[in-house]
Amino acid sequence: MYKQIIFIVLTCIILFASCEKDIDIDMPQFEPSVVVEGYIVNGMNPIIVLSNNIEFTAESGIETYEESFIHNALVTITTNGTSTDTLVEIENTSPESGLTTYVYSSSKIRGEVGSQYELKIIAQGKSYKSKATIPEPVPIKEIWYEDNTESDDEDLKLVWVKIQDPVGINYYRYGSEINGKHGTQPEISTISDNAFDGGEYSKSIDSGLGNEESDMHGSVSGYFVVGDTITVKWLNVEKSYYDFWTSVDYKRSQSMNPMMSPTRIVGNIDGALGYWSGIGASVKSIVLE
Amino acid sequence: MKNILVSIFMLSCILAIGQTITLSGYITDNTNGESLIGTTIYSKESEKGVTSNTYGFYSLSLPAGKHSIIFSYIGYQSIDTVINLGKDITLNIALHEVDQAIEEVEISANSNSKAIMRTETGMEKLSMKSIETLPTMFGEKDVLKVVQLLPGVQPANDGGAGFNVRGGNYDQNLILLDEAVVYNPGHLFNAVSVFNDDAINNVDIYKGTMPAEYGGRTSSVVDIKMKEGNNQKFSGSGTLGLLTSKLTLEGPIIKNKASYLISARRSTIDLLTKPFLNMHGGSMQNNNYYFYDITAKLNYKFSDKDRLYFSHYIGKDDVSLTTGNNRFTIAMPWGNSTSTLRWNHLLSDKLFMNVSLIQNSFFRDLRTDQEGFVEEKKSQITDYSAKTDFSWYTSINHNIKTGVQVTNHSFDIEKNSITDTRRSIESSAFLSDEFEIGKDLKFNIGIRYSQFNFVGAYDEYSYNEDNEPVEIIKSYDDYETVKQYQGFEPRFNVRYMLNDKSSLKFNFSRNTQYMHLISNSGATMPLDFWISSSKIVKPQYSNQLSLGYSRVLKNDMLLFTAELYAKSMENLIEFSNDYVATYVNDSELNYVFGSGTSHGVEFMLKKTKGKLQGWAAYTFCNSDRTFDDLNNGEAFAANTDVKNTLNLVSSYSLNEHWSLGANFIFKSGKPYTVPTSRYYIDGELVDDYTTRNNIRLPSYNRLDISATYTPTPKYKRFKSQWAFGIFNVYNRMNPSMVYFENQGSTSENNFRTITKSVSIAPIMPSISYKFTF
Repeated sequence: MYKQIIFIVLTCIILFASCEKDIDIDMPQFEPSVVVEGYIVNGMNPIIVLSNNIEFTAESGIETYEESFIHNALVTITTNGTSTDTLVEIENTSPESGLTTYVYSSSKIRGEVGSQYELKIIAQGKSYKSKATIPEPVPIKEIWYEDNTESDDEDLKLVWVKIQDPVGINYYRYGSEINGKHGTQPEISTISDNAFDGGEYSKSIDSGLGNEESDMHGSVSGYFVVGDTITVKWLNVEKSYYDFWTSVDYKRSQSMNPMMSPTRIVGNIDGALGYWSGIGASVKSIVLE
Repeated sequence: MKNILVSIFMLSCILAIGQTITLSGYITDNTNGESLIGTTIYSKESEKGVTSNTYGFYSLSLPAGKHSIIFSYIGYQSIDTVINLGKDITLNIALHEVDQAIEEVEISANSNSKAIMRTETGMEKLSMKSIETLPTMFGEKDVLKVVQLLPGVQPANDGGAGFNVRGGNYDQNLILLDEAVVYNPGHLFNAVSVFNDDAINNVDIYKGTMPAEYGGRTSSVVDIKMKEGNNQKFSGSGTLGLLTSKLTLEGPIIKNKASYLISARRSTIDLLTKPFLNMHGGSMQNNNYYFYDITAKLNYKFSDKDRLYFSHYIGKDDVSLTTGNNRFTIAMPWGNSTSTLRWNHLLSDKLFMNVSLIQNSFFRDLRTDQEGFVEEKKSQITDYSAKTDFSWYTSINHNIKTGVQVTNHSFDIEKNSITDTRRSIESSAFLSDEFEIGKDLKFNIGIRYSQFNFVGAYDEYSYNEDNEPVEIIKSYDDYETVKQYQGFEPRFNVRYMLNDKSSLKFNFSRNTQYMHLISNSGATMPLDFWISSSKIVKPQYSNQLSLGYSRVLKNDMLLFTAELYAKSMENLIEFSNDYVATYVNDSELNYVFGSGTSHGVEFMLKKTKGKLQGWAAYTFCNSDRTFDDLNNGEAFAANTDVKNTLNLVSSYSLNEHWSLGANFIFKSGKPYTVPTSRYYIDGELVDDYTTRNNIRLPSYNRLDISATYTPTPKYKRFKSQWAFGIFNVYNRMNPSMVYFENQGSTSENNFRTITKSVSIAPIMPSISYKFTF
């Protein structure tokens, strides 16, 4: 709704009389910070990505991305206040893109529902702390697809899932994989159960704006293409993770809008940007025929 | 304190004892019978004077005997008459307008000597004539644009009708049209004000201390009085302009007893641009924007003691846009309406009473239709008010005013056919006394008490630590008080005449505001919405101290004023740092509350006589905000923090046909918030905002010029006038906002973000034709 209002306002201003030009502004002082992107999923090893933020106006690209990773940090996780493990830095080069990324992980830790994981990081001379607990996964009861209603293209399908929401507050994030590949996140990827607490809930899963395959099918977006295997991930997440991604989605949808308030992306790590959260994940696949 | 006040009162009574006679009546314009608001009635012998009120009524008590009385109003021929006062006299005066062709009309209705004698600082009076020759955007004569040229007043956004006073927020201005509150004073996303100058008689602006009869907003008052309609003969006027065209008709229903005025205005720009929109393959033809407003007034004099007035305003903006082969339609109409019914009654020649019944409303709807999937959101504010005021012009040198008002506010939000209503009752009472002690000292002391009851039906929820509603803990019935707030608002003004050419003034005031405008953006855009105080949202308060010096120079040709002020504001509202517009949560929980301070100095040199008239005003303002939950709890520059402003406003009367106008404006850059860094999340960049208003936009400057041509009338009754103007003559691209454009690509390592500024007011020539008959 907000995007639509902005659309009108901008259209009116432009219709009217507006001019734009490049300007030089003395940007505020850049303050370097550590960025933590950390999560632990039930049944999986923890994943922690450590990086540095970059200057807002600096030129960037693959190189800056690769250079942003923080190496040789001391990362430990204490499980349920008892055993402490040190994570190791793992280098990973994508065979397709050639992009090299680094994560900290440990094969000794495997996420368990209800367990508490305390993260400690010592990086670049400072230490950071946060805690995460894995929520109970909420299973996908059913997955199905329907014809799209927007275009005549019969190859485009809308994928639905149904869940039974447990009583009490839950936060969800969802996404999809196409033929086992990490897909693009939907424009809006989070929802809380405010409107359907304790009830059955069906949701169509957007294929994401950057989905190349469906982009080739004309102007409509958000659909999946016949022939593909779609895996929907339904994540029951902690509030920290929900808040973080809700604000990221919002910021991205508003990125070009000069009139929006400066919403800050909220994390849960003191002194650093980013988050450390537990995720209860359930997945279900379907082949589109 | 109380004792001092009592003794002052006693003292001034003693000084005034002696037999007094009352001279009272109404002041009007002789050609059309319009009330002349603020006419000075002055006795040379006793050096005592009074000004006529909103209805043109005056009452002056003087010692018995011969008096030389002057009735003077700017732009009108003064009447100087000798009256032998033996018993109370009613004297209605009709003043003659000065012929414009012979003598220049003064640009402001402030007489210089009158201005130095007033007790308030920061008070201005604008007559419609004074704004006629000033250059404006689109050639639209607009009172709110002229207000923005006064020192201490800033436009909220470039070219817009919204404004900020002395570092205060945009919602802190009380804008009244015949006593009714106008919640949204702008058409066309605030590009023009809703006030049609052809239907306006008088505008009073208080940017410092407001008198005790005004309340409900913390920064300023713009009190606009409509014309009553010509009660002598049928007449009219019309304007054809690029942005709007309008027609006004007025005349007597019963001569000298009853008259009417109706003025209608409609946008012309949509009619002019429609053919161009159709040209581009017709894809734009379903896009539409128009607005209109109608201002009307009726009045009836029952007797010399009773008058009835009915005023009405209705205006609407309608935007509709269709995109993507008619698959997506969006419509967003909004508008205001006000109705005021007033009864004036003279209880005696010293006691004036007014009773008003007022209704005002503001609505904004949003309707989107995506291939038959319709979403609708309607919001409406409706106020019903009743008020009574008494003005008692005592014979003992005290002008006492008192009154009470009760308003029922109703906020309705209808989303997809579900209506949520919030009600509140705002009530107030005031008492003020204006009196002199000796010749040099004049006081205006007032107290206002206001009370606000947020009432049911309302469900109160309990919340968990994440601020989510858990369960209803109490349900309130209709009109059951949920939360009550109150405010005592002292208003203290004193003036001391240093000599007959200069004066010193000192003011203190405290104000309470129960209605708030929530802004999700720096600009005054349709995303802003009004809310009332509630269980969570507390009233705003402000305290202001000001000190003023005024002096007339060069034989009353020039007026110099210097004003110094300090202001504090409490319970200001902003969205929290991490606010995400989802409509899911109770949005009150997304607000954060903080305080603000402003201080500044304003200098103005005004020339109100001669061929060249106008003013030069310099303003220094410093305004900051402190919110526990914003900017790490540290103070930051307010959006309204524009440090230095210079306004040069001038008009020059060349000859009987031509007059010229020019405005020059310089302002230092506004604060603006930009990201401080960015970082990778899941391989993609996101922006980080840490500090508020962390940069300054480039400084602002602009020159506007105008020329008005009045041809010699061919017919006696039909007069015409051409107005030409160029807004932003040297096409300065003043940045109104900043946005970021991404360039390059990540794969080539040259992805970068370019800062772009958007200017919404480039060079704009204008032409308009006005006729009167």
